[in-house]
Amino acid sequence: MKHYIVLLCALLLSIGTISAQKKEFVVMGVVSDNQGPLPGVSVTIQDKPTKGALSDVNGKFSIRAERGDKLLFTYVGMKKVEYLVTREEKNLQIKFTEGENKLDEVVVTALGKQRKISTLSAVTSVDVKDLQQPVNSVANLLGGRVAGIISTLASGEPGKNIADFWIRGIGTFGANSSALVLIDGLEGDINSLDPADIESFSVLKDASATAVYGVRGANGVVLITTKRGSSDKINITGRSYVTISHLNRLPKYLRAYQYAQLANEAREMRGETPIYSDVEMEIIKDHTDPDIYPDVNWQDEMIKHSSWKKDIYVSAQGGAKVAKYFVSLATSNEDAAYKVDKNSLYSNNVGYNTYSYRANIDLQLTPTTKVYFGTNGFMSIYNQPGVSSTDYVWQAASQINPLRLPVKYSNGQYPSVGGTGASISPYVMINMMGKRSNQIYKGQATLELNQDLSFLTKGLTIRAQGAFDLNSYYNESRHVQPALYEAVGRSQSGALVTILRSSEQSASFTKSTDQYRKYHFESTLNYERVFNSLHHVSGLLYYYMYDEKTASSATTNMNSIPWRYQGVSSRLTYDYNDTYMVDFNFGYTGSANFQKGHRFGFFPSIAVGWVPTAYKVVKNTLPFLDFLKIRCSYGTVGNDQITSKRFPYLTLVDRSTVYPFGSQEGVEGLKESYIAAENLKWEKAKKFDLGFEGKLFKEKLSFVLDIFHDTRDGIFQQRVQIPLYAGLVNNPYSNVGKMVSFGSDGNFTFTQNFGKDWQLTLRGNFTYSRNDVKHWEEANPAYPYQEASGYPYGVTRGYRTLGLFKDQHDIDTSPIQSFSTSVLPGDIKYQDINGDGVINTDDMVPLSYGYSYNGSYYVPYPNLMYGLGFELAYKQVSLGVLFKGTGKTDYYSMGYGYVPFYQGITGNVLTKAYNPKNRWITKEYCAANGIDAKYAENPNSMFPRMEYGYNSNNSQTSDFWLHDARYLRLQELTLNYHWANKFIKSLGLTAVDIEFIGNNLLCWDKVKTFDPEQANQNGRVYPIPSSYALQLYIHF
Amino acid sequence: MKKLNIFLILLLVSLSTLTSCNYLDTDNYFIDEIQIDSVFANKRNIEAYLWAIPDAFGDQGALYEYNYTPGPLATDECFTMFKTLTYGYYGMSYVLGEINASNLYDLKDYYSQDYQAIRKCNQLLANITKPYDLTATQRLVDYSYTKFFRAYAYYRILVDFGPPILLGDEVISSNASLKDYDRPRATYDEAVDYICNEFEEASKGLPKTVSIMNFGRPTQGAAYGLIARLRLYQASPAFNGGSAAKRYFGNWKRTSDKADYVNQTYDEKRWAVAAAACKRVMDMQNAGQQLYSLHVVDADGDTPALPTGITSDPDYYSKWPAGSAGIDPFRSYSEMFNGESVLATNPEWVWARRSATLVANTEMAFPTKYSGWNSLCIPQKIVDNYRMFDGRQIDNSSEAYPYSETGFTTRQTSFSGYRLNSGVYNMYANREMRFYASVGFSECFWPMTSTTSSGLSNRTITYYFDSPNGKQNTTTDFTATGYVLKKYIHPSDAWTGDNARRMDKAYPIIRYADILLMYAEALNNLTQSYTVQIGDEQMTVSRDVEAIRSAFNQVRHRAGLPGLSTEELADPTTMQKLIVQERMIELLNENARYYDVRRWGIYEDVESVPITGMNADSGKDGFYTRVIPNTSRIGSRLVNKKLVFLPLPLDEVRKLPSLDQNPGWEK
Repeated sequence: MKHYIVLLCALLLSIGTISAQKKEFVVMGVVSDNQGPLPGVSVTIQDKPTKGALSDVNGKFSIRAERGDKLLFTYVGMKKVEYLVTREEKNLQIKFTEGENKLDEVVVTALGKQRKISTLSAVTSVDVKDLQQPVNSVANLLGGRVAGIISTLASGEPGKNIADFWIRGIGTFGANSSALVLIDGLEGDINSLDPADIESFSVLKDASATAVYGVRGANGVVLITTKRGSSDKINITGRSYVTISHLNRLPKYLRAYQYAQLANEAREMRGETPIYSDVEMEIIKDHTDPDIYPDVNWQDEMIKHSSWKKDIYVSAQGGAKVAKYFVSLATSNEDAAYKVDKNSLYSNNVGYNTYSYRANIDLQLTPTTKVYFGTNGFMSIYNQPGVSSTDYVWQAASQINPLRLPVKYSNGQYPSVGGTGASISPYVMINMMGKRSNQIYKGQATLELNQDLSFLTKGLTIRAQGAFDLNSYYNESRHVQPALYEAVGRSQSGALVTILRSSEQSASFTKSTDQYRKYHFESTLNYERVFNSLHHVSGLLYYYMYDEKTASSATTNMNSIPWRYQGVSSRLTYDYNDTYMVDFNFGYTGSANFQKGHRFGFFPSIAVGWVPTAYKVVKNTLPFLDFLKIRCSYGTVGNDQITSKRFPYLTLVDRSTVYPFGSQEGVEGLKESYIAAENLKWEKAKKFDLGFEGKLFKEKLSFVLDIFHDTRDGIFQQRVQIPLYAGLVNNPYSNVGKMVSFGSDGNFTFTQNFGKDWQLTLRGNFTYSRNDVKHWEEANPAYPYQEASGYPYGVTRGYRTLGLFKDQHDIDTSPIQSFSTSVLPGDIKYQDINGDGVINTDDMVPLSYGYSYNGSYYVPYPNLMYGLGFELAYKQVSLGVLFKGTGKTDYYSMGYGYVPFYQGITGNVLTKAYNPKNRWITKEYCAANGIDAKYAENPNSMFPRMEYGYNSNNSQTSDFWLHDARYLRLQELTLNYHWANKFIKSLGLTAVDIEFIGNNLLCWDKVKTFDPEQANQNGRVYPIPSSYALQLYIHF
Repeated sequence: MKKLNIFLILLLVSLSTLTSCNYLDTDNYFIDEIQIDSVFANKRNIEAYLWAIPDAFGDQGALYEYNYTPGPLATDECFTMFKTLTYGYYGMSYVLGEINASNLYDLKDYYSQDYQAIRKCNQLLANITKPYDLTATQRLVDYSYTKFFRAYAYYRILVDFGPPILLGDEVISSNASLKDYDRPRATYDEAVDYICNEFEEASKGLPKTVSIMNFGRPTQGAAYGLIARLRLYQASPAFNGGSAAKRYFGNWKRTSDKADYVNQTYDEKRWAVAAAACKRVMDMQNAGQQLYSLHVVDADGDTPALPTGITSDPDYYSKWPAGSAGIDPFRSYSEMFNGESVLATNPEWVWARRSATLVANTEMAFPTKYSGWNSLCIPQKIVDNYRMFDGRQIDNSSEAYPYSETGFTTRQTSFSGYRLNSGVYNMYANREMRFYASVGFSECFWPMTSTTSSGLSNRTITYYFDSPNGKQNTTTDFTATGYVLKKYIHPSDAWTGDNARRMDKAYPIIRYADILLMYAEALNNLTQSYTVQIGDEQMTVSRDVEAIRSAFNQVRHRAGLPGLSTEELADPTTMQKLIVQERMIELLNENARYYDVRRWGIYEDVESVPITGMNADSGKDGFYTRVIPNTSRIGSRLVNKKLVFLPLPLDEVRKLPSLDQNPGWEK
């Protein structure tokens, strides 16, 4: 490392030696394409990277040059134009012809940009334009839009409606399977970023793309750069939108009378007396006693069916030669659809408010030295009712039957079944339990120094960057709870008799806070050059180190040690005439969490590419094929986040007093309190990727297709198979797990112009990712199908069913079902997998796709995700439509919210249970109660024989309750009008965009009752709303 | 421009100083934490490590609850109505069939703790030369203790779980692949030989005695004593050919080499080895004195006179140690266990330890009304095996000391500090001293004198159905047999009231009386003379009647009973029966019988006899009737030859293909 410092000093000292001065003059002119003047064209001088200009709004540019300089005019999507300076020019006309060959299109890759044509890694660049949607997090936009991403959304409630996503699915069952998100090179939070700040968005998927990130790159990398200043032209953008959201898919529960009818039936089905007498049924029907026999639809009491989101964003971008800037400020406010009683003292809706800013400043210190200073801040204030989780509101709605509690008793008392959780009435939860506020503050600042070292050798630059991150949160709760009662009947005089279920709780205040800090330093040495216009060579050397610490985890001397990482990585690329390419990458990175000598991991990768269309013969024989690239990469990447356990390599010893063999006076004793694992190392991913990129039919159709196969080795697990005789006081953690994930992702774009004004673009993408656990260390199960190894990760296990029992004979001749003492016809019949005549846990087999758990919710994790969309543009109007879908995913509909009378009096009943064909009813009951006999004992009914209470036989996890969770959603519909006429200009504006955006408008699926993305929650969570936004952009 | 450059250089240089090769080195944070390497750096640490090893063994006196060994509740010498599964009465659980290979409850932890001790010992042995300040003499002592602990850990696994996996000096890797861990168990003989050799090796550096402060630490005698016990087990029918060995282990072969886990060919010489091993303990000297002897208390005015007219044993009236005269038999026996005798200086302890659990467990036998739990029940079988005051069996009682199952005593008597109430059932009158010292029966007098609260001491306790301590109010805390274990209870021990305290007590892991009886048993099984090597000694042993008489009679005489008759001595079969009976009584609830009935091959015979007792479901009028207690527990007691060993944990067996399960258990 010392050598590195010396080198750096030497390089910097030599900066002062540049002194040669030649005579310069001004070259001015106008850049245009066939539609008129072109603003924002970059004007540079070849081999003089420090000089540059941008064309202004009228396409005018001005640059100082000297005779013999070669001016380069570049504009995204256009073929580069070169101009040799021979004399001073006042009105140089530069004309772009629309890009026939986008040779110089670039993609943002790890630590820089690469020309798209020569990129050999699996990188998906996302059109930033597609990310300008009114959402709470950019993460919510990725699924269905970006090839290679699988995402899920567990809750629709503001503050919780942030999607979880994985790059190419879940590849490890280790501690961390999330992607690394880098914003301007630094680890950042995708949820605190305004989409309008984004300049580029890339997803790095294979080993070649992520190798330089070494230990951090195994789960893929999301690379985001934010906008930077530009010289000459000032761009001011204002954005505002208003969104109205509507909850349109809510579970429908039975109302009182129908509920009571089914309750009586459920009792009779099990030979019990009906719960409601005929007299009571009359009262229920006529609503004559709303205290004892109310009829409440809790959804009506708690939801107002629509809510609002407002947002304002302003940014300014501009500068001069010496300094450029980009600044932005944003705020948003989103309400939930809870119905809040304005008169209530403690009423508090859910509100999620965010405030953020960003400032990116670039300074040209010397002709060869640039400084970049960036800072951003984010604050979110998340207000909620005082109930400890708003999920209880939804749980209560699925549990408290319509007959159980009124909204308020006629004597003014508030009702509750119990004092905690979902037993309180939703009305009380929303209105009477105080308020909570969770506040998050994040700040980041970075300073980067860029030094051109062309004076040493052409194309060499060095960069050093330092940054720090400060995050903290502050959560407070003001909890209060009124006395809660439940009616038990009426006295002889007819007065309402209630008993206290939960005493009044006076206001209490609690808070929690935490802090996180990180500092980061990195430096790169970059080399890029073209020799003879044929050999493209680039090299990169990257060094980084960082140190992070979280206050709340600093609980012991050991745990308070900061997490530290350090690494060097490199990339070397070579491209011969854009035909043959090869990349070498390696990362050599270290973490303080490992033993000396095992701290550093070496992660090499190689990628090769070939462009057959570079041959004339291919062009001639396959004229429709404009471009084809075949690339292949293989390499290793690491994952350091293998455990939250610090220093698992250390055997720790405790000093204590011991009393050997009952001695009265103690003596000093030393004991191992933790046995270290030997030979700990990284979790390593071996990644293989084969990719095809092509353009056809005059570039109307372009596609990318990738096939990947990743093997994750050395997944960190606590050993369970170390035999007891080894004598360890604990089983150490070790790199024993192995898992493979494989699949494919890809996308296509088809563009067609119709006439002069119409343009149609079709897009599609898909991600298919499957995984298989190859080795999961576990105690040897009795049957092979009980092993985790050999099955997809997170596969859920349950019983296979053979329908419903037909009759008593069927029960008598079937294996014993050990869950319940009484099994009746119409109950679920399970398959005896191991053939031992008893159905018990040994008969559980892997049944379904897995779930993912995000810390609060389990959500179905789809193996397939795809998106399909089109854009239709006519002059200034464009229409965009995006469909998003998933496949290979399922869910169990069990428990509260689905099974009628799940816990007897607690447990609501879905309206679909009222349809007699959906539930199993005995012939006798049908006959006696006037139910059409054709519905009797329906072997295919949705619900087994009902029970007023928990039925332990039917409530086992089984494929009876397993359903398809795949869906196809009309995710987005965008109608945009670009308004840039003279009138607008006369107002001093450049353009105005008016957009209507509809989100989650339609959904096709088999779940119906609930949103398919959260189907397994049985409606016990805030649904994903449909929303309609009006978005306005004003460009100055 | 120059200034700016200098500034930039300074900036970059200062940034670069952040980078350092030691950046990831966090060792300086760990200065306060002791790491495994530093344990072996000096004498203080290595000895601290050494003396923390016995923690893995727990309290050897924990015989009833959360017990490391099945213990008395798994035999016919004790019974309880306590709930088993959640309360950790593993002995009771075991015989009720509640313990199996997939659920061993804490017994699995005890199994693994023994191996943890072995690992620590191996770790220590590998590093014993490292401490710079450990002298050669000290090192030998530490080395010997380490060897002892390791052998003792194997011993514990062997007797309860069967042959262990012998690891030698290997410190097993903490992170190897599963197949590297696969290895077979030793056979029973390999294990015994290995453990005995290790004890032998350890004995060379162990002290003969330890200071009072270090009471409980094993000595050379402990090593010799455990060798004697293991050699005796190895010679016993279940492990030495013959029908018992065949019945239990005939088909039990090691998968890897088809070797019999347990010897199927009788080898009489093993008895000779066992005898020599016992004799070595008996011959141990310290400062010219015999090191071990039976614990006796001299007779005083309160000592009852010996019964007269005994002719079968000519030595009986001789003065102790030749005979029974001059000592107080009741106190000689009881004060060892109840804590009256000074724990640390008892010459009978070959290896004993202070046991807080034993003290705590007295609560289980105390009357419920005095904060006890009323239920370490002694079965009738045990009561019936106590002899009469003059040494006769109950079915052959004399006129002077008659045995009767009708009527009650009419007179209160006191002897040796013990009060035998008036109105006691005649079955309990005229019995030998060890009976009174060990068994609490209805109408027993409980002094409980440490408490100063009125009405809580000096109580007579009855167990009739309607008595305050009877069955009427409880389903678990009553004595199902009508008896409780009083052996470990001191007259002053009390659990309730002001100043209620309990005496400290010692649990004998191995005591001299056991050695004497083992010696007698070993000699009794010889039919010819053998010269055997034990340690560095050569010994010639044979069925020497005088040697048997001398060893056996010491135990009898100390109990105040006459010794063996010539006829009894002449017949090895009769002698074996007498030894069985004597061990049952003398070593009651010392965790000997569990192993004895198994090694003798009589486990199924003795355990299949239902437990009987007095009728706890009756008031006084019908109480004194022999009944099978009215609880499903009696019928549920499992008698299955697989219970000869605890099962190995099922997951351990499944992990290791070469590890064979104990016979009869699921694998």
